[in-house]
Amino acid sequence: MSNFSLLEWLLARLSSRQRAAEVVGDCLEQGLTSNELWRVVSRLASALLVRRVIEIAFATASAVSVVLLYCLYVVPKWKLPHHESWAIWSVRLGAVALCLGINAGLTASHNGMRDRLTRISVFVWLTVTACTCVTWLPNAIFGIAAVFMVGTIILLWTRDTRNTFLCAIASTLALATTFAIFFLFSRLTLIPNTGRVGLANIGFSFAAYLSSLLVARITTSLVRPRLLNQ
Amino acid sequence: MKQGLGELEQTVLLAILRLGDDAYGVSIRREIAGCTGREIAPGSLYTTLDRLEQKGLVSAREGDPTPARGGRAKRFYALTRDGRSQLVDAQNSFRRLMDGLELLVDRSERRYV
Repeated sequence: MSNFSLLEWLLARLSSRQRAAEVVGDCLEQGLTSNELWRVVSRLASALLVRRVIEIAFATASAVSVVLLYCLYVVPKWKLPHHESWAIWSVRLGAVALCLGINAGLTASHNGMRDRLTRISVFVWLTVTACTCVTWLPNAIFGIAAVFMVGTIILLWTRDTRNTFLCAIASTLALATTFAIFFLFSRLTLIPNTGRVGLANIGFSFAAYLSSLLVARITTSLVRPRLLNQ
Repeated sequence: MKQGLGELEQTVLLAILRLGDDAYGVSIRREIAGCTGREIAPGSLYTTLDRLEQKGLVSAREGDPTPARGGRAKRFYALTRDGRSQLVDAQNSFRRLMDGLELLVDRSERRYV
């Protein structure tokens, strides 16, 4: 494999095949030497890697914030005598908030806060998270249902917001489905969490998490151009 | 819903508009350097182009492969309708902010405000 082909291959691991060919082709057209090309590609690869790390950090921070809020506001209420009726809903909502938060973090880090998809993803995430934190209140389920209904009507009202909302939901569903697949697989191959197996389980959890992020990103890149006419 | 544009994003969009059908990586960098005196790092340019494409502000099409590029195709960029609209909005905002300030120096008269 020639130097330039190797560089193109490396870049294609972090970006798309077309982008990699474009970058190497542009550098060749400008008559850059092999060393200069390595420098350009290294800088580009570093920038792309840093972006990936930042995306993972944003997504993780969003997930951690949901878990923290849930532990601070909801878990202490489990001692309430009527906890069984709302606890199941709170866990379900918490899981939804977690997935929405991860997707919102990914979108925000990739597209920036000024992007329409980011704003709607963050809005939906914060709304569901807020609802998660109040499920312990008496008759909260009715209030939450009303909030969801009004919110859904608002988001589906115009074509632009409807398509953007559907794009956010699609990637969140893809993320949640990947999580679910890994979870089901782990149940089928259950190993007691002892000694070195504990490390394997941690590794498995990381793999599940990173795979979910990847699937969410791929889904967004596939769905967004179609739904948002881009 | 309006989306804000960063400075580099606007610069790249303007360069693409100026170049018309010939807007690809090398020509965009050359156009920006020629007009602004500023060399954009290739990494910055391609990540900005990537971001603009993701936001739907530019579209890309593959050109024909050429021997000078080792048989690799050029990737030509063009503004989408949304991209043009965002750019016009951003430029109008700048113009409104600059109205009455007379910041642009008239070198022949050497007037400063």
